[in-house]
Amino acid sequence: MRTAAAEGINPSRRRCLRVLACAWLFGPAALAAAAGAAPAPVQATPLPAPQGRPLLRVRGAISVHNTAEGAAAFDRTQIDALPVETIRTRTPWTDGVVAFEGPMLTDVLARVGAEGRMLELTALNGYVAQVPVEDAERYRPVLALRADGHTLGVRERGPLWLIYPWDDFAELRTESIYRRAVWQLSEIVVEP
Amino acid sequence: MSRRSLLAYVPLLAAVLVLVLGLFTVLLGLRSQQIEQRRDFRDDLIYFAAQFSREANVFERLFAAAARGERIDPEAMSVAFDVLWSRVGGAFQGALGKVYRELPDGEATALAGRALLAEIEPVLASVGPGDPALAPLQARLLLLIERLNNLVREASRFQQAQVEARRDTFESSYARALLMLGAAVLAGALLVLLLLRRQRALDALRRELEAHVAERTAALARVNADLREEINWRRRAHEAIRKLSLALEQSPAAVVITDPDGVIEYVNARYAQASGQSALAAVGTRLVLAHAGGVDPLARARAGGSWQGEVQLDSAGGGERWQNLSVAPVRADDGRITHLLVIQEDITRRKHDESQLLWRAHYDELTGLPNRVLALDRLGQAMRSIERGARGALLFLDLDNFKAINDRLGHDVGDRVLREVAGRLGGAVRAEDTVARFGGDEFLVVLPRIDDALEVERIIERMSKAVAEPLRLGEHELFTGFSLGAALFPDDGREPYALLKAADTAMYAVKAEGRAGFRFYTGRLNQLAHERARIESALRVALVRNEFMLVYQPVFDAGGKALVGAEALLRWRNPEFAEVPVDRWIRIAEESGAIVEIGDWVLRRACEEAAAWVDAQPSLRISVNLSARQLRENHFPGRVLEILAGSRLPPANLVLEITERLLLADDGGTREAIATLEGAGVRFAIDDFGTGYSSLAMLKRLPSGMLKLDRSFIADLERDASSGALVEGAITMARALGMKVVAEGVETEAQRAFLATHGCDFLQGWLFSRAVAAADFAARFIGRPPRPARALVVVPIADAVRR
Repeated sequence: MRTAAAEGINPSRRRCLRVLACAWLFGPAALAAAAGAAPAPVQATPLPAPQGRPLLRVRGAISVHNTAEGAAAFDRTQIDALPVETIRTRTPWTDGVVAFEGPMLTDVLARVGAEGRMLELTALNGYVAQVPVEDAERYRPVLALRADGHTLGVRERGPLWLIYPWDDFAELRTESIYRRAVWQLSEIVVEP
Repeated sequence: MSRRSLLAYVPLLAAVLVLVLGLFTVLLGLRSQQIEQRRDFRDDLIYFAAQFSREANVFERLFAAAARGERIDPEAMSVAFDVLWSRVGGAFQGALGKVYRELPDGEATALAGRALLAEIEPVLASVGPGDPALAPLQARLLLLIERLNNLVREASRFQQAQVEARRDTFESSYARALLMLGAAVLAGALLVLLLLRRQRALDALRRELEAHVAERTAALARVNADLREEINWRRRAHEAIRKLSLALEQSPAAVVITDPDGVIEYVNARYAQASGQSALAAVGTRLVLAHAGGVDPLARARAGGSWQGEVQLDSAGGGERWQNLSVAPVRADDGRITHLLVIQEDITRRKHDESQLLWRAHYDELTGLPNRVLALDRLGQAMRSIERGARGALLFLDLDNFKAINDRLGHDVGDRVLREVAGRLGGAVRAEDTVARFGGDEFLVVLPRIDDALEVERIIERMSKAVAEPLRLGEHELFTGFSLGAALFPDDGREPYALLKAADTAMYAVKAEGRAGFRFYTGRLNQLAHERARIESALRVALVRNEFMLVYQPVFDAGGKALVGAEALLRWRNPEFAEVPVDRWIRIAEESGAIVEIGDWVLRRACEEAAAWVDAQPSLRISVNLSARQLRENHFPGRVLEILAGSRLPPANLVLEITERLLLADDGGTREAIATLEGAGVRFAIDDFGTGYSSLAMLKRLPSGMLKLDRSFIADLERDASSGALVEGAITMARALGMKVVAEGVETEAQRAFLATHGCDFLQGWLFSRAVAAADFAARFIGRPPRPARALVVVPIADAVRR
């Protein structure tokens, strides 16, 4: 897990990891100090079993899971625990600019230690869309929980809606990307 | 079409190209937009409607099951309901919702759906499965689905219509754009074509115009040039006439025009000036010209001929004058002689200049002597005309301190020195010789014919004496001499320059020796051979002429106090050869054999003179130098004894000095002669010991011998430690052999002290006395105590040579 985290992360973080490695060798006090010094918002640590009704299930090529079937299930609390990002954008399905808030798809993937290239997103209405993991890295879409401060219910295309920053990237305003904007998202399958 | 006009089309063509490209781009854009739009609209709207229907179906199936009384997972039911709800909501939101609502029955269906869902919501929450309230709602749901299905079809149709409408619009605009493009291209092409044609026409026009203009310009230029030329010609003609008359009037030559009889009609200013007559006075008088070589020039002209020549006039003012006279008839068009033209030009100066030039070309201006050109010319003549077997000479002189005189006293004095020297040289040579100035302070003397080298020397001698006389120039009294190189012809060169080079080389050899003198190019050999012959002949008669005399160099003991003997030295009193070193003429005497006779005289004379002194001082030893030649004479020992007997000098008082070389080259005769004489009591001394192959074995042959240390060792005593060691060694060795040692050339007290300390027996040299004549010797050294050496007056006598 440590090596996985080391890859694709900026050099300063990698240096921290090296410090950590040293700390692991030289003692817990140093470890504590090093850990305190390195801000690590999302850590691939074990995920507890969801307490409430799961909002999202992630399965497939992941290394962190909390269900018997080897999937990672998030209840609302667990989702809320992830860092929140806001994307202000217009969409074909809404009026005006809407501030969508929610965890970044990358953070969710990182939380479960996903290692794959393609994601298959399934919605409550049975809609399925393929989303490349690359999208998550490049455009940093969010799994919107709220729009303009209101929590999205199923009636408002919630509880999770994959929102791209369409207004920030012209190349996103195409049919193929719109199709990836799955609302009423219920499950992500990470395909290796 | 010119390149320039072509260039002018580039922006135009570029503009057309840009336009075409722009239109093409727009077309492409339209096309791609069409494709994109087609997909967007059809797919989205149809999909929206289809999903709407699908979601409604999902819910209806669950709802129907519940209506049938089956137990349904409330969660699933709720989700399906909410999903449907969200779809209905979607119909009223966003761009997609707007498109959807534009479908026929789209909005109504959505509104109906919303109303139905609003009715179903409370029922779902309150009633359980199988409730009769559900059935009507289910029927309405199915109805809604029916409408939705219709909507899907409608959407599809609508979409199709929309797309077609758009495609039509698109295609028509596409076609329009294409048309526009074609029109633009066509217009552009037409424009270009038109412009090209216009340009070509313009070009042709311009060319034509240019040609025309060029033609006209050329014609004008021609006319212009013709005109200018004519004007110039006229101006020149006018100018020429003006100049001619002016020239005539102002001509430096005197011009006279007379009628055929010689009556003056015109004279120019120069004539008036030269004749002392005014022009007015001259006109009307008859011209009289000097006859030249018996020809009357005027008569000649009158007869139709012209005459031109140089005429010498006697001027009243004295001095001869020269005139260049030309007389020519002037004829009218019919050939009749109307006038005579007389031109007189005074060429006295030119004549003078010519002779001056000629003179300058061959003479040196400063000294009046021939210059090198003339000198070499004369040398060449002499060399060419020399008879077979005869000789001539070229002397090359360089004044020795001329540069110093010039530098110190100025060029003025230098020039006077040169003139004076030139005069003296001229006076010293024979009438047939040429003294010339070569340049600077160098002179050449050409002796066209000489009998022998002696004659050359005599001439050089005369010149040398003449130049050596002090020069009195104002307050200065100067002395000068020259270095001279002589070359003989034909011996040293058959061509003037070769000879000049030879003489020059010889002169520089003299200069290189650093003293005034002269030298023959062929080197000393020639000169010496000649001199030698003269010396030889002079020596043969010297005895008869009583030119020899003996001088005596006293020999002292080591203390320098007691006189122990004297060395007899031969002198030749001959005015001609006073300068010839003793060594040289002695050698000549030896080689010629004259030495035998001379040696005999010396021996006899020395013995005779010494005999008287020995009477007064019995221990006195008189040394006489012997030549090898003498020793080798068959009867030499007998002759010596005969002389001793004749002079009554005891043999023991005679020392015969021989060289060590003589001992080395020993033959039986010599050794026998020495032995005989030794037997008789005569002593021998080795002269110049140390200068040759000093050999111990040799010394042993002289039991009664003495060693004479060469003066060169003595001179080096104070300078050179090795000389001291050598002298010391020689003395030690001589003593070991029982020989006495005599040191020659003792000049200082230090040398004496050294020699005395190291056991040298006898000393001679200037420290004690120079060689003196017999009478002086007797007066100064015989019968009275010798004076202290240092008290002697040192008289600088030129002859400082031994013997």
